[in-house]
Amino acid sequence: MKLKDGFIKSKLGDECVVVPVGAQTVDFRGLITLNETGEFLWEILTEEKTEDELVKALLAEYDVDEETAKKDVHAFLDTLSEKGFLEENE
Amino acid sequence: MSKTVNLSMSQITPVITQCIENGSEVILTVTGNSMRPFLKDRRDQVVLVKAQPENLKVGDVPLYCRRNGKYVLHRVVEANNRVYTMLGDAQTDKEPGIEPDQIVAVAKAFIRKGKRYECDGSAYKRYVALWGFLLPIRGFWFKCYRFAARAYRKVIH
Repeated sequence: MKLKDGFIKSKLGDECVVVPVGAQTVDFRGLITLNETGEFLWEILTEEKTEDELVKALLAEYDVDEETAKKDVHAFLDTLSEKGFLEENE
Repeated sequence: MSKTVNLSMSQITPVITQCIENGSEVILTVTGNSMRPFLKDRRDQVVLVKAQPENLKVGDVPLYCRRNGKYVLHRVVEANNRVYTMLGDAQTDKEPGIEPDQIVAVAKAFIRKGKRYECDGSAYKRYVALWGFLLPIRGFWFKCYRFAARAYRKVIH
């Protein structure tokens, strides 16, 4: 899977916000913000990656156990998928 | 999980500009009460699109930037040679001398109490016509309103 085109990640003050610039309607009430690890995963997902690859990348970059990393990656992907941000290749 | 992040207009304006340049409409929650009774602070939203800064008409509601850097959403009440005079619906003092380079975007619709009103819709047009018609007595109207509100509070408490 990878991120769809048409999103920009923008620093607004202290917040990192994802804006769907190509969307018909950009509702600033519904924007998602990314924390540090979210931002890290977001960058990686600009290219085609599997869930396992994301977990591995997270483990390599952060001091976190595998179980937590798996859980976090899964939750993150769930959110992105729910919002329709992902291009999923079966 | 969701949280509310308050961002200043100067922070988000470049992003808004990028979105509307791409042909998107942008929904923002309004702050301040200068556009009451139609728009209430933090309750209502404005739907912004790309403006034609040299071609605004009386009645249009652009988002513009004052020379002091403050961003404002007010109504055009006079348009002469591409120089505009603005007035919030809840105001009586006009703000003259707004020029095209200060215009960021223009309202296409409003979301009031969760309901969307298009600027070219009949309900919205009726409101604008009525409010324009009442302009000469607006100051007097606000005085009466404040007086009534005070009296009401006195009776209640």
